[in-house]
Amino acid sequence: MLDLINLDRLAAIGKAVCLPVVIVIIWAFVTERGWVPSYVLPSPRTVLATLVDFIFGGSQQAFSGTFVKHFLQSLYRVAGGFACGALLGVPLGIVLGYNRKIGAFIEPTIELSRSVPGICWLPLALVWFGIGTGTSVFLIALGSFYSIFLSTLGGVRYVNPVLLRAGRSLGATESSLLYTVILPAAFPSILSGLRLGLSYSWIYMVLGEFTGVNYGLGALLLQSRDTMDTPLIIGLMAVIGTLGVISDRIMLLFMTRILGMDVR
Amino acid sequence: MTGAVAADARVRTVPHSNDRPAKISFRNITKEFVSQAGGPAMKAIDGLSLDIAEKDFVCLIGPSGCGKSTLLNLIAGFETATSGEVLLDGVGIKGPGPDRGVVFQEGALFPWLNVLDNVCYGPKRLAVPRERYLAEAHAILEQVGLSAFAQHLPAELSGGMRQRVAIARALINRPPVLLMDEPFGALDPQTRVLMQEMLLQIWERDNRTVLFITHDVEEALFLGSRVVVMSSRPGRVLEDVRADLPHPRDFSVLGHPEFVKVKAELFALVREQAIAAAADSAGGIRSTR
Repeated sequence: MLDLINLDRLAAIGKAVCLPVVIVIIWAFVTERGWVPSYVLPSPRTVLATLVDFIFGGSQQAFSGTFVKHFLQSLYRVAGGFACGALLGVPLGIVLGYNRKIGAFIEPTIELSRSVPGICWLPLALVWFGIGTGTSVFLIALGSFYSIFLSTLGGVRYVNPVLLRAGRSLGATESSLLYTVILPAAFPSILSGLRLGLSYSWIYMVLGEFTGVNYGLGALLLQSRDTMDTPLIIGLMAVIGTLGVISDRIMLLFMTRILGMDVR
Repeated sequence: MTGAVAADARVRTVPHSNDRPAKISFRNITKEFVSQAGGPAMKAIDGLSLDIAEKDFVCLIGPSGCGKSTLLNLIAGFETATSGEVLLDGVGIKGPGPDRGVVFQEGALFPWLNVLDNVCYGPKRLAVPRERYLAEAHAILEQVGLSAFAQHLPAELSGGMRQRVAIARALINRPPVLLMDEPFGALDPQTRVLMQEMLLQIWERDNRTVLFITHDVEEALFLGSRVVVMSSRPGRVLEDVRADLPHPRDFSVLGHPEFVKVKAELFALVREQAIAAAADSAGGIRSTR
């Protein structure tokens, strides 16, 4: 039985990998043949070599072996901004979702402010916080806040009313209903809001670092355009994407552990 | 058993007489729902009065939309009447409470809690000591035949098992009143009969006051000590009969001639109301064109 499941999973992975393999083969073919100039699209081999050099060092290039330094800078900004967004979005979503009277005062304003695209805040953020970590953290907090807030609000507000009725008729008071029914029922929504918020955090991290800071994966991405280092550009795109996936997985694991502990 | 049925099953000794003090009283209840679109208010129940004696098993039948569930929601405290009074032991209903256990149409189990934790939800809220409610929960799960499934999540159970958990969860609080809103409506016929027999066994043992909503005439007659037929919307009491089939009952009653005869009469009555309700809604469609 276990073997069957593993076989199924293997087959699924095999199917998923088909298209990327084909793309890489075509990519390798056209670049190695010299059909495309290498400054437009370097070969997979070059990109991989650059990536290895970037992470582990070994060449005389300026970026050689600097991955950890840039990564820690970006991680610091993502973690700080996401934490701000979550610490604001989750409690506010719970309060406004639970209490429509308070919600009526605050929700329209949040909805209205949401129609301003996140990028538009960049100049104002620069005026307020200057070039550097402050602006990045602010933009990340802003970008992650809305999805976290809205998912939490929706999850809390639209709990299946039958569950609330069941809780009340079994003896729950209004306050114990919040902890024993509403929050556990809203948990999946809160979790998906946090995941979405985290993915926005990586996006706004790049935006924030495009303003001209010295260190950070986004900053290096912009610098590598200035030096026309196409292999590094592509390598960094892959690194940032992979970090997004890894952070999502870590959070999912972390939250489901909490789900197992917290909800009983 | 079946011999006794023939002698005793003068089911239509109408009207029902209240020989015991009322546990639940509906006094001249009217319930209107305001349309969200701003149209005229819809009258679900119109001037209904009904007394339910202690230890009665009242089955409420009627066509869809006749206000059966609304009536149950009023005693449960989920909704309030537009006018009139709903009394429990002579006191007005303030809101939901553990003195009225509710079993919903689709279980309404907490999906994140396993069977045992679902059953223990009530006593935990009521601060019952842990050793006591655990012992009671295991006893009740035994009674509904789910001891082996205590650690399972609701999603891992069949529909019938989920409803058994829901009944166990309501019973563990020992509510004097049990309110059941078409609890077996979504089950297949075989499971349904087993569930009905299980419910009868429980009721025959501890004689709670039960209000049971169904649109199945046979179910009403099989379970109830009294069957109340409601009219199509706006809901009024149309017929109120004692169902004096002897206890303990089992499925063999279903084929008895007297049972079949009364069932047919009640069915005809409900059918008339269903036709009226259908004509009413068809008229509504025509008038909007």
